[in-house]
Amino acid sequence: MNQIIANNVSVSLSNQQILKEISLEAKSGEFIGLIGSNGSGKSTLLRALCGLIPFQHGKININGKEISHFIPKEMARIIGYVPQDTSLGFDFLVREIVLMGRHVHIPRFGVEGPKDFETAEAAMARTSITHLADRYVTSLSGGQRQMVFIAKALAQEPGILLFDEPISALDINRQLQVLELIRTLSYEGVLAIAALHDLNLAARYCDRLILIKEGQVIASGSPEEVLTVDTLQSSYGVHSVIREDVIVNARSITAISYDLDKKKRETSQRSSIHVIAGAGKASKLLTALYRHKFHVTVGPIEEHDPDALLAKELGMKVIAYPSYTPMSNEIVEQSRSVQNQADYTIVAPVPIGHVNRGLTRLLDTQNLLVLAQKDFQGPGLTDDLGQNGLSIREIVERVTEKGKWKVAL
Amino acid sequence: MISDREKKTSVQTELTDPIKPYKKVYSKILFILGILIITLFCVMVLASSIGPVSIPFNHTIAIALDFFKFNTGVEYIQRDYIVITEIRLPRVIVGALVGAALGISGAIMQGLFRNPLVEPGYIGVSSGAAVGAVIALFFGWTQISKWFLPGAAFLGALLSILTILFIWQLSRKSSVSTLLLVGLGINLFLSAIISVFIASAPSEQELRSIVFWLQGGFEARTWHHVQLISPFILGAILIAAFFARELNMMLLGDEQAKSSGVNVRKTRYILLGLAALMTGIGVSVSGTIGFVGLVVPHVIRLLFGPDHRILLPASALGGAAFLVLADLVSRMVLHPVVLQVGVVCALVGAPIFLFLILKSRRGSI
Repeated sequence: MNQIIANNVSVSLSNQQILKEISLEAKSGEFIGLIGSNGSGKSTLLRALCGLIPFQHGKININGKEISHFIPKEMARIIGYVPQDTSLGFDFLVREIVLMGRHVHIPRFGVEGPKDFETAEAAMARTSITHLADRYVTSLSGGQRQMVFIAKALAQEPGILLFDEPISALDINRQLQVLELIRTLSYEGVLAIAALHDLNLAARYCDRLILIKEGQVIASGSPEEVLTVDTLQSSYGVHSVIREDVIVNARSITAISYDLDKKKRETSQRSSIHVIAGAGKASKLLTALYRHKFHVTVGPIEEHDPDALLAKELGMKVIAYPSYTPMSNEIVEQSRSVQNQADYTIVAPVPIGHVNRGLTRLLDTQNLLVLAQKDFQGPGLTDDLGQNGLSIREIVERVTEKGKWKVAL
Repeated sequence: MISDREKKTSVQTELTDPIKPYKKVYSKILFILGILIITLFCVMVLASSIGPVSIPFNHTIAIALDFFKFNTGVEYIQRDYIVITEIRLPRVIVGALVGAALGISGAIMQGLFRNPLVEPGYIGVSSGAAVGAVIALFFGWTQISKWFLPGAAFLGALLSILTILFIWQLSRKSSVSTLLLVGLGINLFLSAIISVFIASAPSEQELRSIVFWLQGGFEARTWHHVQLISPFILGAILIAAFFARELNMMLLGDEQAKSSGVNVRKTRYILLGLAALMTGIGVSVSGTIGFVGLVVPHVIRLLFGPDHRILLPASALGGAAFLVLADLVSRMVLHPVVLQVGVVCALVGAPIFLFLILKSRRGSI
């Protein structure tokens, strides 16, 4: 059973406070992701946890023993560390580098034995770099070198593994491979902590996430608890949409826009727009308007229509009615009043059928812009208005106060 | 006759044997060291045989064995026995020991600093020894005892390394590059002091002996010298060889080394101490000999790679062979004019070095 307990740890490097009273607890079998913006202190925390840098306040306990009481060799038998920067100026063979991981298991005046060789070979096999064994490390790419150092850490056979951005330099195939490997190791009882930049992959593979901002933990817990619009806003300064990705059964984060001053998103000073949507025909328009920070309302629309679900996720006001039932007069009137308050109304090429025929009654307002979609086929709401059809880009340009914002879709 | 099937299985086990590539590394190490030991032996025999009085190689070997109480029964002249055992053998052995010390120290320093352009002199040992020796020569104290000159040189080396380590500790960033800079600063300062002594030398006699010492040489070295330096140098080489794995790992960077279980601080102090000790002791009996500590490890690295398990012993053997050969050249080539060995090292070493750098296809270092 391996365990790390950090209590109010503060670290200052050259008079700059990097970590402020960080506390965390982790035990065997967990895979913990450290997330946070560049310079937030993720790497520093990892290095403090394995004794590479001194800390000024607080306590770090490894397996019940104060970290400063370990000698390096004893420490390295428990904790392995894979650095972010693996550049190397000396041409060792990959096999020799991996074998160096065995150092902790070899006595002072001993040499490597068969068991060490077998462990090193197994570590290379697990990281799929056996074919590189006889190459010089200096001839490898950054991603391949990363794999070599992961193999070296595996050969060390520690119960705790710390990774500093292990996948940043890797292609998507290797990224999944490394994260699967770490996941498997944690199922085997290893405690793994990794600093990660890819929030989607972090959400997918980690048991727990720790979000760090300016050296402090601002959120900690399951990916669902940590990854929220608000925490991402305050830590990364991005406005994001968070959805459930059913394919991998995990949170999926899409960053929409960044704010240099990390303030809350303001929509008030922009035009308000009402969209008549449905059947997913307005999805791209809705996200485009959202990205450009318009105040958007949608309706009337069936409550389970893809456009309705998207609009709700984006925090827009939606006038919805129950699915598979005809649109009532009240709903049409309610929608009309919202539509009249808007600066513009945009009509999407929604297919018209028995249940939503009421939509045709809403095409008589003054502020109408028509969205023409070239590949749309069959009877649709915009058929009669097709003459002045506009593309999404043209619509956004029209509704934007000209000259104030550049439009880039 | 082996059936095809049996053949096939035997090939398969060979392919899947995980230990084989590692065994190959060990046999490579042994092979390289074996060749270097034979080279060193040949060079030493050569250097003992050639001189104003030429002695056949087999006689030289027989005399040396006789001297160490292994009777071979080969006939030789008594005069040759005295020439070999009293004059040439101690000189050759001192040369070999100093060469080994400088070679391995250079390899250690280049590994510690992760920089192939570093040599033992950079931590101030050589110039410290030089100042000690120059002071002794300047004031004519060398008449007092024949041990005064090496003693003063060693004291100088010791004082300068202690000063440098002290200043290094005072600096808040105690990184290896800071140590290098401190060493360079102290070196420049000590060189200036030497210049002052040379400029104000009282007579031609002192000036000549100072310049000669600074160029390094092995004239009139005796068994006393061998006895004086061999335990320190051989012991230090042996200890250093056990740190080869640590040095390899320190090439990956301090953090990687530490997280792989190397006590970086302790290892660095031990190895710096050993390098300083070996260089200080070597230089105190030979005078300043530059270039060996720089070129030999570099050449070995270009030939056999950066693995310190090969590099450390090979640099010791290579340094020994190189210096013995350089000494032979220094006394024979322009005979009867005797060049100082330090000069020969630079004259011979520099072109070899440049040639190898141009030829090398290996990595940057």
